[in-house]
Amino acid sequence: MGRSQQDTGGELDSVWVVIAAYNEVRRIGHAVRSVIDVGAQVVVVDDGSTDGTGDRANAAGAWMLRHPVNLGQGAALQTGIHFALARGASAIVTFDGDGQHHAEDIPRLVAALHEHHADFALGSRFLGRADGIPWSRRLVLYGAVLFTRLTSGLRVSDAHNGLRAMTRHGASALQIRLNRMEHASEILDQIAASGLRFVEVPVRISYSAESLAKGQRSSAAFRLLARLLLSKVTG
Amino acid sequence: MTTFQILVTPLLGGLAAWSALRVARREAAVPGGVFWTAVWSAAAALVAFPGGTVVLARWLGIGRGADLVLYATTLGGFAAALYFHTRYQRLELMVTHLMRRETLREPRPPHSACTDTPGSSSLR
Repeated sequence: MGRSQQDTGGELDSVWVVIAAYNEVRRIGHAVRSVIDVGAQVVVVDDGSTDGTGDRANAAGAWMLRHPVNLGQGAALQTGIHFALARGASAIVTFDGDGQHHAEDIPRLVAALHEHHADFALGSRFLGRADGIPWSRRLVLYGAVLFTRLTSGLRVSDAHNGLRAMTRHGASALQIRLNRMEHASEILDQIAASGLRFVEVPVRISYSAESLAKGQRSSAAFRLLARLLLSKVTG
Repeated sequence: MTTFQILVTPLLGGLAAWSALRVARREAAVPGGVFWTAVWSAAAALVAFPGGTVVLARWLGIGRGADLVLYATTLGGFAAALYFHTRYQRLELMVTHLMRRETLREPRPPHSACTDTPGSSSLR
C-alpha cells in the first residue's frame, strides 16, 4: 500500500490511532509519521480546520475524516473511534496531534492492555514525565484528579491525559456525548460506571511554547468545570 | 389605579388571552399554552392588585410581597436557563450525530494508498 513503516512484526497492525486535529497543519505531519513508524494504523479527524490540516495529515499517510464544522475534540474522537471500530480495530489509541504526545508510548499502552487484562490503558504524565509543564497547569491537573475522585470514585493520577488505549470491547462501551474538552472527564466517568478494568501507564508529555499558546489556558478550567457540573445535572 | 397599572394590566391580560386563543386554535401545544396563560394572568392580577403579593408572601412565610416577586423571578430565571441549556445540549447532540454520519460517508484513504478507485474507500 506504499506505507513506510518499521518492521514491528505486525504487532500493531490492527491497532488504530485516532488523532483529533484542529488547525494543526504545522505539527500534524510529524505526529502522523511518528505513529506510522511504530506500525499502527492512523486516522486523523480534521475537526473543521481552516488551514489544510486534513490534507497535510492525508499526505503524511493517515486516513482522513473531515467534520464540516468545528465540533470539538470529544466529538472528533468519537467519530474516529466509530471509524476504527468499523475497520476492525483490535485496539484503539487516542493521540493528540499537537506534538505533546510521543508515539513511542503507544506500544507500551497497547501491551499494558494485554498484560493487565484491562480494557483501558490510561496514560499518566505524573507517573511518567511532563516536560516543560507550567506550575499553573500542574495545579489545575491536580484539581482535576481530585474532582475525578470525588465525582466518579476513580483513582487516577492524571485525569486529563489524551493519550489512552482501549480494547475493542472498551471502545464499544464508550459513548462520548460531550463535544469539548469535558469529554476527558466523561470518559473517566463512563469507565467507572462500566466497571471495566483499567490500568495507568507512565507516558511522556512535552509542552512547547507553541502547544501551550494554542492549547487550553489554565483559566479555562473553571469554564470546563462549570460545563461538567451542568452536564451532571442535566444528564 | 396608577399609570403603570393602567398601562400594563391590559397588556398582560391581552397576552393571557392571546395564549389561550392559540391553544383554542391549536396553534400552540396545550401544556405550554396553559402555562403561559396562567403566567400572564397571574402577572396581570398581581399588577392590578399588588396587595395580593403581600397576602401570598405572608402565607408562604416570606416577609414582603416584593421579596416574593424577587424570589419567584430568580427561580424562574434559573429554571428557564436550565430548560434552554438542556434543549441546547440535545440540539448539539443531534447536530453532532448528523455531522458524524456525513463525515463517515467519505473517509479519505492515505494519500499514498495503492488504489484510488471511486467507492473503494467507502466505509462498509
